[in-house]
Amino acid sequence: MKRMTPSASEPELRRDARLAAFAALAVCIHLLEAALPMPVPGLKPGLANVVTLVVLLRWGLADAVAVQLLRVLVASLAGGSFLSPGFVLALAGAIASLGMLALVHLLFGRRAGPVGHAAPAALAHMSAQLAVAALWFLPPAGVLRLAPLLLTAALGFGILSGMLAHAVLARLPPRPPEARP
Amino acid sequence: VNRWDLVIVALCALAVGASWRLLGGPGGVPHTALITTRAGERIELALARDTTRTLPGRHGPTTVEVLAGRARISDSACPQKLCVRAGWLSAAGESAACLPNGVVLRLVGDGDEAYDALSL
Repeated sequence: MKRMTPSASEPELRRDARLAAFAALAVCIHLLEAALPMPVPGLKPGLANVVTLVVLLRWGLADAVAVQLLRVLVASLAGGSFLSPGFVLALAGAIASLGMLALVHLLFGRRAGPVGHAAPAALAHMSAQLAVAALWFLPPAGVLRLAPLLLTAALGFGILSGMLAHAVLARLPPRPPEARP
Repeated sequence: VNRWDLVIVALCALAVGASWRLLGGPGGVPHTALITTRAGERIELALARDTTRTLPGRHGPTTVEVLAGRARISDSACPQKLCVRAGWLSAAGESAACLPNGVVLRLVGDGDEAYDALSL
């Protein structure tokens, strides 16, 4: 059935619902991952970023920013780490990776795929966290010593996230025409 | 994965490689061996000068040896000798401790070491 005059607020409502759904999904992944034991402190796969990537590549930067920041905020509230050092680290990483994603988006646009976005974003994420840790509460010498190892792991996990995002994007149906901006 | 992705990933790998070159060295270079005893005494030995120092502990003497810019607990009158098995210390921040005797050896370098560890 075709509507002659669709209400003006409908696309906005749809966008809200979409952002909420993706943020909720990312929060779940974030919390499940937080429960996984990791061999090295400060290291985790960051699979919630796959959600951010998918949103970025399908719906654009503004939506990705919203999902990412919502995820960090809500996951910290649910996990009990709001305003703790861990939360500040997560927020710093989230903002840095968004900044890098925006940069890649501006420089390469559609030419860069999920992996091209995820790898530098993962490095930016880790670098920001290391910088905050070193400036705030860990001995800088120790942080610098660990940095190469953690950056290498971040690159590996970033590439993995990109490949996962690619797989997800390939399985999503084509966007319906009315959803396009 | 297309050509641009490969270019970007290659750039990232270069950056990570550079971080190994720049930051992955032997850690901070220590200049002093700091010993604290059960009595709360603090003894600083310059790593530039080879020396040995024997300290009294609850179970008997603990001997610290400084040789060629490194330091170790070479002998200690304690049951398990974990401190001796810690071996030579060569990077700033490394430590060996004889808990029964209350003797702690730590290498100090330049740089802020306000906390040993922090749980997040």
